[in-house]
Parts: sequence; C-alpha cells; structure tokens
Amino acid sequence: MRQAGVYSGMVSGGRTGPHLLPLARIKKIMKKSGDNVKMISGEAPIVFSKACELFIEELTRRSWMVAMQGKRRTLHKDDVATAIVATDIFDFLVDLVSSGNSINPLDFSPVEMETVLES
Amino acid sequence: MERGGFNGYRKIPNASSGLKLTNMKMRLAEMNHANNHSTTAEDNECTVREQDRFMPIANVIRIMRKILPPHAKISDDAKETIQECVSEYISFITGEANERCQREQRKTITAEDVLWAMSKLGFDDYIEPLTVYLHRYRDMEGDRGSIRGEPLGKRAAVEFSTLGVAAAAAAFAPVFQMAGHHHHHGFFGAAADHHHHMGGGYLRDAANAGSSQQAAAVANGEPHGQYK
Repeated sequence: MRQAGVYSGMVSGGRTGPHLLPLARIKKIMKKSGDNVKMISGEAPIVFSKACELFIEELTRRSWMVAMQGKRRTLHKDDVATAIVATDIFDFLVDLVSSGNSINPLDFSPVEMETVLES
Repeated sequence: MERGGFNGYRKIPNASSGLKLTNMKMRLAEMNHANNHSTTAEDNECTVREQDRFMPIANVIRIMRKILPPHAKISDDAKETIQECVSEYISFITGEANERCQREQRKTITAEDVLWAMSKLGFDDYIEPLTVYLHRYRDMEGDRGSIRGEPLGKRAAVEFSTLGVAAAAAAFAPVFQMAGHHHHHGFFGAAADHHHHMGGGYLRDAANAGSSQQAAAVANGEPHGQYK
C-alpha cells in the first residue's frame, strides 16, 4: 500500500494526525463503552486503530462474498447482515443489524400473522 | 428492483428501535450541519454526538475499498452499518478488557488487556498482526529515547503510522492472501531484504531492523514474548 493513501484518506475533519483511524475518536468510544471505564493507556487506542482496520477488512470481505453469491456488484446492508449472522465471532453485532423486531410482519401472510399474534 | 416496490432490506420502520432512529436523526443533523453551516444548538449537539460515536466514514470507506474490487459499489446503508459495527466492536472489546482490569483491581486499560479481550472473544487471528504492530510501535518509541510504554510523541507517531501501514500490510500478506509486497518504503525498505531468510514466511517482509529476536519470538508463537 502506498503511503499516499495514508494521507489522502485523512478526511476526518479534525487534527487527528496521519493514523489510519483517529486515536482520539477511538478513545472516546472506549470511554463510552461503560460507566466504569477509568483510564486508558496510550497504546490501547493504537492497538485498536489497527484492529479496527482488520475488522473492517474482514467484515467487508465476508459481506462482499455474499453480494457476489447474489451476482451483485453493489454491497448492501443485507449482505453485511448476512455475513454477520454467518460468522460466530460477529454474534455481538446481530442486534445491530436486525430491525429490533423479533417478528417482521412482512414475513407472514395475514392468516399466519393472526396466529402469531394470538399465541 | 429485485425486491419489488418495497425496499425489502429495510424492515418496517420501528420507532421503538431507538438506535436506528437516533442514528437517522443524528445523520440528518450532521448533513444539515455540513451543507448549511447554519447550526442550531440542537444540531451542534447531535453533530458532536455523531462525531463522538463513530469512526469517520471516509476512513471506513477507504479501508473497505482496499478489499473490494475496483468496480464494486457500496450502498450508503452498507457504509453506515459497517461504521456502526466498528464502534460496537470497540465497545465490545473494551467492555471485556475493562472487566479484567476491575477483577485485577487495575485502573488503566492497557494494550495487553485489549489484546487479551480480543483473544477471549474469538479474534485470535488478529493477535499476531497486532502484536507485531505493537512491537514495532514500541521499537520506534524506544529509538527516540523515550521510556517505553509512555504515550507516543507526535513525530514518532507520524513516522510509525506511515511506515506501519505499508509494512504491516506486507506482514499480513500470508494471512490475508495479498500478493507479496516488496515495495514498502523508508524504515523497512532496507531491513526487509535482510530478513528474507528468516523462518516463517509470515514475518518475511515485516521484520524490524534490530529486532530480529523479537520478531523471532513472535514467529515462534510467543505473541507476548517481549511484552509485559
């Protein structure tokens, strides 16, 4: 990967320095992950900046495979959701990509829906 | 459209799905802010929260594009979804790392805690490349004469990250099925050639000048060999 990519991609709107992902932002998200997150070493966001890159790469790769199976050239949220459901370590993301409903009325015919609602 | 008139992938909008609706509001506010530059206090608040919660979408897209073929398109909702997933990933790992700190009655979440949590939560494949990355970071910090483990000065951070991206990408070549990269620059350019003979193709291009022992420790399956 050429270094030009590192600089041209830094369109984060802030003075984050030429890391791949902004460390201050990572730190903010870490702090918000729980009420009792106290102190964070300087190295932890650095590890995350690389880990998030790996994470995005893996999720993208898996999602694209789903799109390819559907013979599509556009990556959709559905593809991401399918990849997440199919990958054990991405279980923590299942709720994020679901509708929040456990039942989607579109999945049922009117008769079936009546049955579901009555049960 | 293959799914008919209704956009099938978007389930019936559910007002009780708080995260989604909040996201939509925040993104609208951010778009307003970006387009109009006329901001209300409410817009500012939403924008600030949006910025706090996610990685910048441009950065996310750039990383995605490294993986996707040139002709691939990415829908907006896919971009946003992955952007949200990254934040969820950080929270997920941090939560586990923080619990470990609390159990051990430590106040500071360290890089090692993060790596431990990742391994525990199933992201074993990331551990080796991250450990290499971290070791190289510490080497740079050491070369600058600072105490190890202290926050990195800006210049070293700049040098490390610009080199780390190219060299780390090369280090991951076998893992991530990239073709061998031999055109990385600067610090690792000369060093890489000297280490082609090293056992373990994994580290062939990424071995650090002056830290072959460290790299060998990693190659021998001691990911935490050098670091406490």
